[in-house]
Parts: sequence; structure tokens; C-alpha cells
Amino acid sequence: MIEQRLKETLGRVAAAEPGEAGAYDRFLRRKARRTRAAAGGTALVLVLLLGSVVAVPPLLGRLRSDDPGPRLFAFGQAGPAAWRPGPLVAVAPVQGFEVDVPAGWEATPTWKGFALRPADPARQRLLAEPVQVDTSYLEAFYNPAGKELFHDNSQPPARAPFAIRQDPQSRGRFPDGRGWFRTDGLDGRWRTTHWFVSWPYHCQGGEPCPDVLAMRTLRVALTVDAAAVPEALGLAEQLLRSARPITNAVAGQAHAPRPDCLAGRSIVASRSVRPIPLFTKAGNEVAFGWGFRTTRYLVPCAVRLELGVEVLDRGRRADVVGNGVAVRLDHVLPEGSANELGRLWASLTWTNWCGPRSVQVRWSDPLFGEARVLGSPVPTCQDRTKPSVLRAHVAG
Amino acid sequence: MVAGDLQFREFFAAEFGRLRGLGYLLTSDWAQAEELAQDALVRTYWVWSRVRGHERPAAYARKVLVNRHRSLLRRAVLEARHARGSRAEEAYQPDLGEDGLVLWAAVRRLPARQRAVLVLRYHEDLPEAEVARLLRLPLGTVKSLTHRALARLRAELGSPALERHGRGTQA
Repeated sequence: MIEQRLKETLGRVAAAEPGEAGAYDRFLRRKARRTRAAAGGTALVLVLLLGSVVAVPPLLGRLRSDDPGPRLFAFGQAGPAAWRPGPLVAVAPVQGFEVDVPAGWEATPTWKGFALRPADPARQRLLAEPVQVDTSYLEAFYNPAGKELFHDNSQPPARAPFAIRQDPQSRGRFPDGRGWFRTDGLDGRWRTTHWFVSWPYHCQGGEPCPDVLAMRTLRVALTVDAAAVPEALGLAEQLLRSARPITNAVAGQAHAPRPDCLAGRSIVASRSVRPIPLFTKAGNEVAFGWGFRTTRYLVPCAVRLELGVEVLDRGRRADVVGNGVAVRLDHVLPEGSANELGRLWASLTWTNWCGPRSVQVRWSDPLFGEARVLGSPVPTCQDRTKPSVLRAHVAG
Repeated sequence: MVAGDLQFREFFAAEFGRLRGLGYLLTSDWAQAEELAQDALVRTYWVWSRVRGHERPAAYARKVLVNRHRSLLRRAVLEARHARGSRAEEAYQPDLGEDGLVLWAAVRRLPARQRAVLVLRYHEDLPEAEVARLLRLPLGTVKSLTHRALARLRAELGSPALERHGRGTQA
């Protein structure tokens, strides 16, 4: 009998499980996390809302009190360039680093860190673009911390990161023991150098971090004329030697409040509409979805958005429960539980549509703008006596 | 450690492996199976003072696991449609012998509902009415899913080896 054979096979499959070593410890950690999350959920929302008002001034005050020199702050947001001359300390609390900008150079905050250029306008022409100081994800094969963190780092990734390309590579250590990785190449008349040191990331509240965050590096990128190479390389080395970890780069230290994520910069966003098979019956429902993931610059940020769709039947709002209701997102990236860069999914699921199939869907979201789409898939009519429903889901 | 915690720890030791095995049969993925089992046990722990008085607290944990699997299935479909890359093929292969591997591969190819019904019916030894209650399906649907799943297995596995085994068992 196939039933008996099936019973035996399922029993053997389930019994062939891997060992249970550490299962109870993992349970205790999960239980503690859930308890903390339940207790701290409300408080976290308040902290995030009040963070920019309450947390920033003391943080900056404390940072200032460590060193009386002038400071320049970058908060992971875009803004007009406002150049300040060195010497000063450039502080990126969102990305967990501060560096010394020497005399003779000036700096401006960018959404991903800082840009530096010579203070002398004549020498500025020797740079194709300002020197960039930022954080960046770097694969284990290249990462100075790769050998310590990962056993299998012997093979390069399938696609070399843009910054690496085919340029000659070198590795070494600063006298204080920190490992570095560097590429030096040519781009027309310009010499390009990308210099990386590993830069730790500690998740908020001591929570375990996704492995991928251990691959964060502090990066200095140069594209300069050959005549300026010694000066630019000297600056890069000085920046990397003077770099100090702060906030999320130091275990147990408070994180800076997250800025809003910037689509196309700190996050990549996608939008889609798809039919999804029903689990309990034949047919399908329809999901209008958005996906978000952090970019390799690893700028911690929060997705704070209202996303919505409206189903229109012959130009008027269709008779759908929840029609036009928005999904409200307030989620932190990149921290998460996955073994990859932080991701977030949001969707509106539309079920049980018994009206005409030729509906129009109006998307409204600040990332992609408003759009009216004809020919959208419609969900299966499951029960004419029940309403059609549009419901929000968020998964991160 | 209070008495309730000690009792729960014994419950954990007795049930974790079984729940993880059930999770694996439903998902074919030990990592997901562990997630499901751990999640079910944390949720059971929260209501332990109430559940431990039940005749079968394990049934409560199983119900939580099956419910969680149902909701994850929906989310997995959604995520899979968004995800750019595909998941790596799972390397794990239990030692089942040739016939067992063929049958297990066929079970893995079944639609999610048919597979869940078979696992609960033939691995967990639950009556059809209980399977219907756990999956929130009408009893008739469970019967027809079982029938269709077995028919599909027979059709896919109408191999001489399986037929030989079947005749041998009957004889």
C-alpha cells in the first residue's frame, strides 16, 4: 500500500534530522528577544519619533566634549554642498565613524559620508571628483576582515564590485594591526584608488547582527591626476589612520537616529503586481507589492512611507473593502534577521473580485509617483455574497 | 528555576525534535524547520501556565507550528516573487534508499496543501477531521486532497519498485 510506504518514508525523513545541540540555548535567546521586543515595542516607536529632538543634541554634545576642535556632521541625508576648511573632525554618527580633515583640505557632508577637496582652487582641478569617505559593503574575498570572519573566502564573487573591477590589488596592515585592502587603476588620464579598512557594525540593543554587516568597511575613494597622486594618497592614508569608530561601530554604544532612506542611494526600491495562488481554494489573489533593500554603502536608515493602491471600476472607486487605504511603513534598515543585506517587503493583497475584469489600478507612492495602470490582473471571484477586500501586509 | 520552567524544559527536550521533523516535512528545509519549531515553542512557552494543564500540550505546539507554516507559505510566495536571486538548491539528502528517495522527491513536488494533508494524516497519524481543523479546511476538501495527492503519487511513482513493495506488503 502506498499509504504504508509513505508513512515509513516520512518517518525516516523526519528522523534523519541534524543534531539538536544548542537548540535550547537558541530557544532561550529567541524567548528573551521576543520578551524584550514586546516590552520595548511601544517605547521604540517613541524613541524613534523623539530621537532627532532628544538624542542628537546630547550625542553631539558628548562628541564635542571629547575634543574641542571644530566638527562637521554628516547624517545620511542629501543636501547642498557647504565646504568647511580643515583642520576639523568630520563625524558620521549614522555610519559610525569620525575622521580628521587636515589643514589644506576642505570637506562637505554627503548622503553617504564626506567629500574632501584641496582648499587651493588651483589644486582642485587635479581631482576628477572630490575624495569620497564613506562606508561600503565589501565581499569576503576582498574584505580585510574576511579571513577572520569567514572560512570560505577563497573564491572571488561571481561579479567583482564596481569599485574593484580588474584593477591591481594590494593588501597590508597599519602599524596598529588593522588590515587594509586597496585597488589602484587608471581611468583615462585619472588614477583611481579605492582603499578599505574593515569597520565593525553592532546591532542595536546587543541583538545578534546579520553576518553581512560584519563585511562593512570604511572606504576612501580617489580619482585624481597623476600629479596629485602622492598628495591624495597621503590624505587617504591619514584619513584611514585617524578614523575612529563611534555609535554603531562600538559595542554597546547608542545608535544615532535613523534618517529617512533615500531611494536609489541608501536603498533600492522595486514595485510589482502579481497574481498569487490561493492556499485554501483554487484560483488566485493579487498582490501589489513593494520591495526595499539597503545598498552597499550600508547607510542605516528608516523606510518611512505611505504606499497605496486604489482599484477603479469604470473610472470610479471600485466596491472593495479597504480600497484606497495606504500601507504605512516605519522600519529600520539594514538590521534584520536575514543573512543578507536588510530587506523589507510591503504589499496590499486583493481578494475575491466578482466585478468586471477590466479594472484600472491607481498606484500612489512617493517613490515611483502616481500611475494609473490598465489591464492589471484581478483576483478570482470566490464568493459573490462576500465583499472584495484589499488588505495590507508588511514583512521585514 | 521555577517548577513551570523545569516542566517546560522537559517538554522542550521531548518535543523539539518531533516538531522540527514535522517542520522539515512541510518545508524541506532544516533552517525553516528550526525556525518553525522554535517559534512554536516560544509561543507555547508564553501560554505554558494554561497549556500545561491540557491533556496533550504537544498538540497545542503542533497547532501553532501548522498555523505559522500556513502564514509563512503566503509570505514565501510574496517574497519569492520580489526576490531577485533564487535560493540555493538544498544539499541535504536523507538516507532513504532508492525507493524512499523517489517517493520523498515526489512528495516534495506536491502542491503545498496536498503535501500538508499527507504529512499530518500519515506522519502525525491524525484523523481527517483533525487535519481539517488544523488546516481550516472543510472535511470534504481534506478527503479530496488526500485522494488527489495519493493518486498523484501513484501516478508519478508507478514504478516497478513501488508496486513490488506494495504487493509484498499485502502478501
